[in-house]
Amino acid sequence: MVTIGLIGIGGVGPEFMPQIPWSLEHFNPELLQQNPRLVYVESESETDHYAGHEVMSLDDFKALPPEETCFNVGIADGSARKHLSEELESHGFGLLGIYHSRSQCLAHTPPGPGILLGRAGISVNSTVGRSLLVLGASLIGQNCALGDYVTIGSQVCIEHTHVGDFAQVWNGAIVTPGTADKPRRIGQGAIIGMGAYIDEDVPDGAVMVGNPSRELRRNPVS
Amino acid sequence: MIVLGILGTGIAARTAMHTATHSLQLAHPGTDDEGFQVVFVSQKPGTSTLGGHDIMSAAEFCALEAETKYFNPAIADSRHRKQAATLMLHQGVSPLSLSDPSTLILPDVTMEPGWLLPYLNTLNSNVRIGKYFHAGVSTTVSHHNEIGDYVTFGHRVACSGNAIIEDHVTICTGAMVMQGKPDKPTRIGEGAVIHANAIVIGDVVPGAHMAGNPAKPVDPIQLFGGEPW
Repeated sequence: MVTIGLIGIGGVGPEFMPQIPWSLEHFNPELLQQNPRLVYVESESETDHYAGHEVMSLDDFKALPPEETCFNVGIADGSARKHLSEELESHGFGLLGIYHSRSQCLAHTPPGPGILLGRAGISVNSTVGRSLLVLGASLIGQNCALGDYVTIGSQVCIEHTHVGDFAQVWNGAIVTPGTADKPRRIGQGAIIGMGAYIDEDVPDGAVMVGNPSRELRRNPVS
Repeated sequence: MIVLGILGTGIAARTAMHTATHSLQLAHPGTDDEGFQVVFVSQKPGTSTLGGHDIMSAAEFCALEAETKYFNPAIADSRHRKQAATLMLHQGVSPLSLSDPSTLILPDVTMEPGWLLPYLNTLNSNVRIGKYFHAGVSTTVSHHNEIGDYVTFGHRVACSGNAIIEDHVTICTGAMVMQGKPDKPTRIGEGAVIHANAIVIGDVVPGAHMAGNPAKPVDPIQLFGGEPW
């Protein structure tokens, strides 16, 4: 029996779980034909069922046969997504992308594995790395290049922007677009706070908040 | 005849009108569109129709002979909304919740009746919402939120996870509430007003007016040169 596990029952997991059947129908019809069961994976859960789905511990999930098991990580923190997805992939589990039924992906090259695309759009001529997470009502406009494990909140519109690995752009942040020959750059591991207004390039590891934005602190970039 | 009275004739009422037929069909599946009548209910004199629908006074609406009568208080001001809803409940009219087909409600959402959810709203899992909740266009209510009675959201409001929004709170267009922690949720006190595009990063005391990014308390009289509400 094929099992699809979504890790995390915090915020992101329950948002994407109801979208899995639609996503399978359009992107992995061969999996849908095998009538997979959908489970949450969460080690510290107090219940064994959540919103109509079984909740498994990570250890139980790892004991499943890898060739019949797919997963994705519904955690907003990019490093946690990297840690968990690399560990499970090393056991042979497949990383499955999940698309919202009202999402649209016109990316120039196919997005990296493990995308979690909410009610959002990715426009033409953009490239997307591994395990991107986009929440609702966002738009990745044209000529964007997103690194691996990037997190984009809701109501974010970016265009002509390069986003480094592990960067997070939170709800309603405004990033003024660069130009085709000089894209706006958001550094590796940078965090753009909710509603921040960014009109300059953001250095690696910077935490930017406010309107006009100021640098709250600089996190070390590994 | 099944009659729905939309209380008010303002922008919220006009938005509510677009969701009316869909919501009536949800409440009465199988009934033909001809079997529904949707009217505006307003105290203000003026034109007698709006967008092809009659405008009635509350007395006329209550006296109307109908098989089933519903109301929805499409009034953005929460105090007036409560007043209007209480009046209609006293007259024995029952509330009808209005939602657009594009609105997405995920599992584990409990809502009291009388809401208005126009286009492109998203309610994530594990949300509890009180009566007569009123949202604008394209709002997002994230996980583990508790929203009280008569709460009003403007357009593009995003309410992140683990927040408690008490009764009569108004969150204006583009404003956002930052997420709390499961053991310490962000709390917006009763009757607080979060002004447009404000970013709330902590608890808000009851009745406060907050503006800016990050949101700070403001004096509404100074801000608007008069009593705004």
